[in-house]
Amino acid sequence: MKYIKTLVTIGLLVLIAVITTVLVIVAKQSADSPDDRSEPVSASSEGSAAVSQSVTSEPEPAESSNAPNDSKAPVDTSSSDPVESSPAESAPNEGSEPLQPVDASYYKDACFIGDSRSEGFMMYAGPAEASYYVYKGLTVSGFFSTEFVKDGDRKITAAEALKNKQFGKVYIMLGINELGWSYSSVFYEKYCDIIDYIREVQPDAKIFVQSIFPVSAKKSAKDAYVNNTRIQEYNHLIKKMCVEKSVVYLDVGQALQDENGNLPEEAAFDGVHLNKPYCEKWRVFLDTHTDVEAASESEVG
Amino acid sequence: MKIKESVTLKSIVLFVFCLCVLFAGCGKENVTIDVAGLADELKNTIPFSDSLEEMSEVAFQLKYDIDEADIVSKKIYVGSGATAEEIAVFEAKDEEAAKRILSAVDLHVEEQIHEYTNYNPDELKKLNDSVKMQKGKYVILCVSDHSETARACINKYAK
Repeated sequence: MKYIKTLVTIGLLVLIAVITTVLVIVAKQSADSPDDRSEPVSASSEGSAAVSQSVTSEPEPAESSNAPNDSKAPVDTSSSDPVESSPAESAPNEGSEPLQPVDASYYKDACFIGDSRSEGFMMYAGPAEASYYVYKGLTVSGFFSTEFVKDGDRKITAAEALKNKQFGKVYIMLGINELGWSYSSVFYEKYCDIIDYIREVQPDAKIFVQSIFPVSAKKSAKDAYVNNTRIQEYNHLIKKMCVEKSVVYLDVGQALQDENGNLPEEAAFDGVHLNKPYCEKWRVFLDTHTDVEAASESEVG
Repeated sequence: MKIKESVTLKSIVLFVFCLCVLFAGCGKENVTIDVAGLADELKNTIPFSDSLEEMSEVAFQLKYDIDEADIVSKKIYVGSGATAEEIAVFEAKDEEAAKRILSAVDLHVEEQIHEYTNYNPDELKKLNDSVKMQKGKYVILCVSDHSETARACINKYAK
């Protein structure tokens, strides 16, 4: 009898030891796991929807390309407002006196609106004092329809966000994502709507419209839409709009491009999005181009 | 007989006590990580396609919904926007704070997935396979095409 009890006791101990070993191994594996967490967070699409369900797809008219990625389709030059694009656009601020750089406090009442390029600027060189309504893939249509600006627990459009705070300066750069649109006239009209809207909700703000700076020669050569010919065409429209609306046109490209009007290969690994050194050049350009007059007829040519 | 039973009982009690001690120890990871060092190690070890640079403070405020009081130190490297590549290493004030930071990191990745779905779907694989890890009071995020390398690098560094 006593042997049976001893055997049962040993058996129990062995069983406990085995369970313990298994538990310890599992615990260690769990601790080493890359997704180790005490409170598992769902990575499912449901989770995604819960986080940002309000972002809508943008209803661009006849849009052929949204992101400045490789576009293989043939160039669509149809436009109800054909514009002659000059091979090298003159800088609107040429002939001006050298401008002194402002310090960061200048941007306390500044707001930046733009697409992924402006987001890159914010990431690497944007003044901390400014406000940013920047979003990947933002277009002149998305300005009014894409809900991406955090406002408490919800998200609102850039247009709505501009109603909530008054600024002294509004910097805007859009257009790279619209280069594939079938009608550049639609881009022009919608950009004009944005300027009118900003004027209405930000009556005291000075509006700086930044040009679409070029892409690299390599990118330009292989992309049907995101190329420098198309960018020049759109910049001509933007300049025309700035004259019409009496707002400042800032040719940011002059601070970034090479002697041939291309973005240097070293500036962006994909030929489109600037790396930090070039974002800093962009910042220097903005710092030194604050006291600029509204665009004039002579600049459009 | 009674002596033997008593000895057996004592053995079992002792064994259970040892188990409790063992599992109590498993609950906490006593890891010390050089935050900037690990971020740099990941940046230098993983062959990122983009040129990663440190994220500005203003961008951090917009991109991560984290209570500053939870953070002791941080280092974040981010791609140019062409890619979703990113490294973020946080030291939290304690493990509870680290859990909250990990949740915020999860939300940040979800936001990125949402943005890149429309903008550049090629980046979704990196985001879906991203390494999100809590080690004690540290939280690490690495978005790259080389998640296994990142995991190995982190585990090696955090030993």
